[in-house]
This record gives sequence, C-alpha cells and structure tokens, in this order.
Amino acid sequence: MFRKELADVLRQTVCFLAVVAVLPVPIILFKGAPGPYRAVLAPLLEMGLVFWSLFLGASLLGREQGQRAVEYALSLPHSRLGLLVRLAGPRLLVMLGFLLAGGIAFETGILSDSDILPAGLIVGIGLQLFFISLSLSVLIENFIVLCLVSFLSCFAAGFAVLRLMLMGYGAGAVDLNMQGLFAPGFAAFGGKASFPPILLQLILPVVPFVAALLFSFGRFDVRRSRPFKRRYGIAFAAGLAFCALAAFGGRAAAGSLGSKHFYLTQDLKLAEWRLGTKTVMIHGPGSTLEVRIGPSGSPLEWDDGSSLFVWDADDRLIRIDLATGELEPLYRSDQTIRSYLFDQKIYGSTIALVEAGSRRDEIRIVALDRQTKKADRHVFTGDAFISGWPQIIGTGLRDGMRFWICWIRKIGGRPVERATLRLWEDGRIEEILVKGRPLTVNTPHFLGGLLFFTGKEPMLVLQDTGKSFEIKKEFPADEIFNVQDESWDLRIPLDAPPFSFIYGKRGPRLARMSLETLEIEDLGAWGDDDDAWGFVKRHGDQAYFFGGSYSRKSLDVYALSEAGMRLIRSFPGVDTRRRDTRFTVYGSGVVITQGGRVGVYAFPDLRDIEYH
Amino acid sequence: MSDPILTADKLTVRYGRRTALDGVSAAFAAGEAVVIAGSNGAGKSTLLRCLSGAVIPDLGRVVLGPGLDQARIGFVSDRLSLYENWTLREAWRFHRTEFGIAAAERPPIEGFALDEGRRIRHLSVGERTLFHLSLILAQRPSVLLIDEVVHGLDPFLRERFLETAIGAMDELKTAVVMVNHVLSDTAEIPERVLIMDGGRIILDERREDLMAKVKKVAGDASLPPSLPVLFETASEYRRDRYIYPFREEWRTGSGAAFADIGLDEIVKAFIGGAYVQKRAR
Repeated sequence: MFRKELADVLRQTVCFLAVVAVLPVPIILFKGAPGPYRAVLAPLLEMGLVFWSLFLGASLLGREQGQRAVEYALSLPHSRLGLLVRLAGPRLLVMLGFLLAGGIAFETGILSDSDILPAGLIVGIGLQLFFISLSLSVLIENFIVLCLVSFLSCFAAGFAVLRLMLMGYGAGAVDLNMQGLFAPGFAAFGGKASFPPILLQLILPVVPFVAALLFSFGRFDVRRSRPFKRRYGIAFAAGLAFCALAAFGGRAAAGSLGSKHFYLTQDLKLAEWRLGTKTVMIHGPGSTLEVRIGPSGSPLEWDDGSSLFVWDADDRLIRIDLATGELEPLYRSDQTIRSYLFDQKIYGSTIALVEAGSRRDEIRIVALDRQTKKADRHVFTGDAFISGWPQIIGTGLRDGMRFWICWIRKIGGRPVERATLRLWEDGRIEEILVKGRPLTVNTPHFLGGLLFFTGKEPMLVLQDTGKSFEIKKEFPADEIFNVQDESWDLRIPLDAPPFSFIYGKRGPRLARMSLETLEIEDLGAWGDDDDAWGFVKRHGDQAYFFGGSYSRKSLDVYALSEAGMRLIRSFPGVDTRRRDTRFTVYGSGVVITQGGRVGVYAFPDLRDIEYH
Repeated sequence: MSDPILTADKLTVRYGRRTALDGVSAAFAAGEAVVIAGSNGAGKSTLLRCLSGAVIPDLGRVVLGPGLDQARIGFVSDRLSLYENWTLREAWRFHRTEFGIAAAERPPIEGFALDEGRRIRHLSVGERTLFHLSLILAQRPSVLLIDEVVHGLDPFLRERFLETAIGAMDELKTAVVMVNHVLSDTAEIPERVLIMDGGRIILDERREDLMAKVKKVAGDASLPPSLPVLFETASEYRRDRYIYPFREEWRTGSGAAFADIGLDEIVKAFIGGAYVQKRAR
C-alpha cells in the first residue's frame, strides 16, 4: 500500500508541477510579459508549495472516499496506526521532498524569492498546513470545507502560539495579516535568528492536531463515530494544553533560546534585548540598568543620546530614559484600524511615522513631536500606495510647508514597480518624474537637497526647483556610480548636517562624489575578491568604509579621506553569512556578534569597549 | 460448539443517536455456516462490519480465536467496497500484496471469467460480487463474512457464488457468516440461524431445531389461547398463524393442523412478529 500510495502521490505531484511549469507561458503571452519566465514562475511555485502541501494532507482519505473504498481499506490486515503510516507516510515523504526542492531552489537562487513571503517561511507554512489538513481529514469529509478549515486553523494556531510565546501575556492582538502574523518568523528567517524559537513556532501549532490524529485514529472507522470524535477532541485539548505550556515555557526560556539583539547608543551604552522577553538590559561602563518594558514587539530602534525608543507589542512607542530607566509612552497607533508601520525617521524633535491608512490606497504620515507628544496626522491617497511599501528618504521645507520625499516599492510586482513621490503636508502628492516617466530601476537617495538615482542605469541627479525636481546632471552610460552611502538608516536624522561627499561603487573601485561639483574621484579598491561587499557609514563628519568578502570571512574598516582609504581595523573570521553572526554599525561604534561572542568597538579608532 | 474462531462480545455500536447494535454477543465456530436475518435496520450489516474490523464497536470487543489473524477474515460487503478506478489486474496485485497471498493467480470461479484489464467501476453488480469473492477466497479465509450480496446475482451467478462458498467451507473449514433476507436458494446451507431486531439477537438456533420449533396453522381453526402465536397474517381468503416455540404434544388435543415450513417462511414470521411488537409498543 505504501508503494502504491507513493506512486500515486508522486504522479499527482508531477502533474501539478507540470501545470505550474506551464502556467507562466499564457501569463507572459496574454498578459504582457511582466518578466522572464523564472520571475513569473517563482510566485506561482511559492503559492503552489503552500496549496499542494494543503492538498496532500487533505487528500489522506481522498482516494478511498472518491472510489468508495474506505470499508475495503479498513478491512485490510493492518492496525489503524499501520494504515495511517501507509497512507500518510508517502505523502509526508513527497511533501518533504517537494518543499526541500523548492526551498533549495529559492535559497540557492535558481528561483528568486517573490516578495510574497520568504521561501523558508513558505516551507514552514507548508509543513503546518500539511499536518493540520492531514489531521482534520479524518474528521471532515467535504474536501472544500476541509481545506478552508485547515487554512483557518493554521492561521489561528500559528497566531495563538505567537501570541503566547513571543508577544507575552497581556499584549493586544498583532495585525492579522501575513506580515503581522509571521513577523517574528519573518524576521527570524531573514535576520539569522537562532533556530530553536523558529522550530517552536513551526512545531507547536501542529502539535494538537498531530496528537489528536495519532491518539484517535486507532478508533477510526467508516462512521467517524462519536467516541472517535471524543477521543480526537480529548487528544486535541491535551495537545493544546501542552502547546500552551510549551509556548509559555518557550517564552519564559526565550532568555536562553532567543537570539540577543543589541543596540549601541550614541554615548556608547549597550542595550541588550531578547525576542519575547520583557526586559531590556542597558550596560554602561561599570554599571547595568535593568528596565522592564513589557512584551516587546521589535528590536530596539534608535536613540537620541538621552533616550532609547522602542515599540512594544501593543503598538506603543516608548521612550526609555537611559540615565534612570524610566519609561514614558509617547504614541500609540490607531487601534481601530490596526495601522501597519512601514517606516519611521527622525528629524529635529520630530519622529515621522509612515502608517497604513484605512484604505488600500491610503497612507498616513504621523509627525510626532518627542517633547510635546503632539501627533499631526497627514493622510495621502493615491494608487501608488496600493500594495506599496513606502519609505521616507528625505524631508524639507518650502514656503513654510513641510514635505517628505517618499520612495515606494510595490510588493509582489514583477518587475518590481517603484515610484518616488513628494508628499506635502497639506495632502498634495507630487510624483517625481525623470524625463516624463517614473524612474523604475534606480534607487533614490536624497542628500543635501539633491536627489540621486543610482543603480543599474546611469546615474541621474535631480535638483529641487521648489515646484518640481529637474535634472541637474545626467551621467554617461559608461559612468556607473552606485551610491553605497547608508542614507536609508533610520537612525540617521533626515536633517543631519549636509555632507560634502557621498560614496559609491564605481566598477571594482570605491569612489566619492563631491556634492558641490558632482565630480567623482577614485579612493581605492573595493575588494580583491569576487564576492567582496561593502558600504559606507559615518561618525560625525568622518566616513568609514566597511568591506569584507564572504570567501575570506573577514571584515576590514577604512577611514576615508582625500588621501584615499586608510585601514583602521581588521576583524578576521567574521563570516556574515553565518546565521549566528550579526554585524551592525551605529553612529558611535560597531557591534559584532558571532556564536556567543559579542564585541563592541567605538569610533573613531574602533577600540574595544568592555561592559560588565 | 467447539472453540469459537470468532467471538462478538457485548458489541454496542451507535450511529449518532441511533443504536445499531445493543450489547450483541455471538460466537462462531470453524467450518460453521451461519445465516443472519432480520428486518431492515436490525443491525445485521453493522455486526458483520464489526466482525470484519471495518467498524470499531463503541463498547465491547471482537475476539479472534487462536491462530486467526485479520488477514484470514474475508469480508464481501453489500457496498462491494473496492478501489473502483483500478483494473481487475491492479486490484488483484494490491490485494495479493496486502494480504500476503503467495499464489500468483487468483483462484478461478467456475464458469466465470473476466477481462483483467477492465476497471472495477465498469463491472456489473454480479460481476463485481464474484470478483470480490474471488479476491477473498485467495486469502484462504478462516472466516468468510458475506453481506446481502447474493440476491443481487442472477440465478446462474448465484449458484456459482454459493457453490464456491460451500467449496471453501469444505476445503478450508471456513466459517461462513452470511446476512441474507431471501433464503429460498440458501436454506440448506446454514447450520445456525441468528435473527436480529432493534440491534439485538432475538433468536440464535440451530437450523434443525428452529425448523422443529416453528409451525404454521393455516385456516380459521380455533386454537387454545395458551399457544404462543409468533405472528399472524390474515386476509379475506387466508389466515396463517405461526407458532413458536412448538411442542409435539400440541398436535393431539388442540384440533389444529400444524404444518412444517421452510426457513424462508420462518424468518419471515420472526421479522413480521418483530414488526407487530414494534407497532404494539
């Protein structure tokens, strides 16, 4: 039976994959070509992974029911558990192979992740859906109802576990959407978090379902009788209780299981926080301050020298006094619409928050004054915001009116659609066009009143004329200068003093461009290796180049000046591809974690800082 | 009875709120032929399903006798449950593997042959029944459970079916437990008769004993009120009364003519009596 079942499931899976493989062709032919074949295939395959996992689980008894063979199958000379193994085993094997192949294809770049969800998370959801639908298939005969209930159960169970394990006891509900629901997992997969919490997140939601199936299937028969359902219910409840305990336990053990997050303040205090815990430890030279902030929803965000700002799981922005540890709630997002926070930037005493609006085509910029806690909401409506991910890259004043430069990247679009907008505080939206069209390939940087579009196409520099942006300089096609200046960093105030130079990659070399003359001058080699990477960060006026290579597993830091690149410090053995490695540059220094070791190094010379 | 090869021990089965079996106990010996009869919904098929393992009783248990395992229990259900999309060849291969049958060929049923490439769903009810029986017989079953499939066969196939089942009984000492309403063709097969009503066994007798205990009185002759009338049918032209349990001494003195009747009519009397009792309640 095992072999027969395996052959059947394999045949079905091959047919399914054939359909998925062919599906992009008519889409490309009839809907216009949104991209190459692989780009269209990727999201289809991602969704296919999820739905096929659901189907494989839900069809546990599908053939028996469809061919009126349930009674025959149950009278075969196998125990019920043996029958379950023979029916579910091949499905599990095929599904694991299917998910593994898909995961490898995405991880190795054979197929690139669509923007729907990361591949790792899709594998996780696929596994959950498989086990949940497998379990429910012995209770529910109607296939459509079964799929719907499985889908809802998967979300409800995942949601419950996340609430219990990661968000804490009294926290309000997080956004019930894919991003919100799986946010910690999302961050975990993308952000190299440690494995055990992820495993708990994946396994716990399916525990009650699997326990119920294993415990009750011994009494499964053609009737789906009341005693059978009672056993299922009892086992499910027990599994749920175990799951809740484990989730609480997991949350309690997050201190040892969860990965640590660090934040280095402007005055070199090191804040330490773990996903799921309620405490932030603030280490200073010779002292440590313990601050209980309640369940925290995201890593520490930024500081202004005297205060540290953090979002809790109830969507409250909290200010932590770095000297006393006192807490002060600053702001809470609109709880009636559970606004999603896209971006946050600071300038002056203002924190600008970009929130989702009450409609799909609406966003709101909340200008929050840190001193008075006054929040001014500015609503913007336009098609550009539908499925878009807006980020503020600059701000300014014109004729007494505030504006924000906003860059929007459409989620899930192929090719990725981008738009650059100027949002005026009176609600007007000005689309920034280049030669009459939105520039869709290059990425904008707003520096010193100039808007740089750099990337794959030749660089353009636009200047604000007050009413619109006009081209100041268009670089020739062979002059590729790809800005690597981290102007996106939310910790850098938008109104930071204007720079004299911006830094970028020109071929295999590091170069800088004068913001006054727009002349580019060479600084030195970007890196000797093919897999070299790098970026520029600033400490005050001084710019530093952080460069490394994946193969050499190294990190070198250079000070940049007219004289070129001067090596400040090397960090051998830093392998940024390792999941347990983090390397973050703050305004005051650098924090490197690898394995269990934490190193803090202060600018300007990156000397070691010791904490208790 | 010799040691039972299969025992139903206080089986209770419910379908929702309806009780299909209510504490049913029965034992079956090797080589024994038993017919189970009863009104519709009496619990006959449910009992067979419990014995086959397709239904797990809510209470009670099915005990397999020494040396009997599940692979030696053959069940031809009234639903003729098989994977319908398979060809006969595929079904045979699967059945052979699952039941660990050594024989490469299915035992033939005399006078009955089918194209092995045909799909099960394309077979007639009769063909499907005989195919199912041939699969079961390949298991060399120690117990053969047959659920109300015989009357779906034409006279020729019915004869083939019964001859094959009897052949198995002779050769393998197979216990045959058959649910059947129509006993005109099969009256000589069972050694024992179980009659069920309302989820209970209301009669469990050897065939000879039963036939001796049930008599019919035709006509309007008056009967002593002490005679136990199991069931009575009356119309403008005809009146029949069925006496159970009958005693030979009643032939003299009661003035009535007690006639022997066939198993078919005995079963009809019991079922009719059960309906009357139900109406009276």
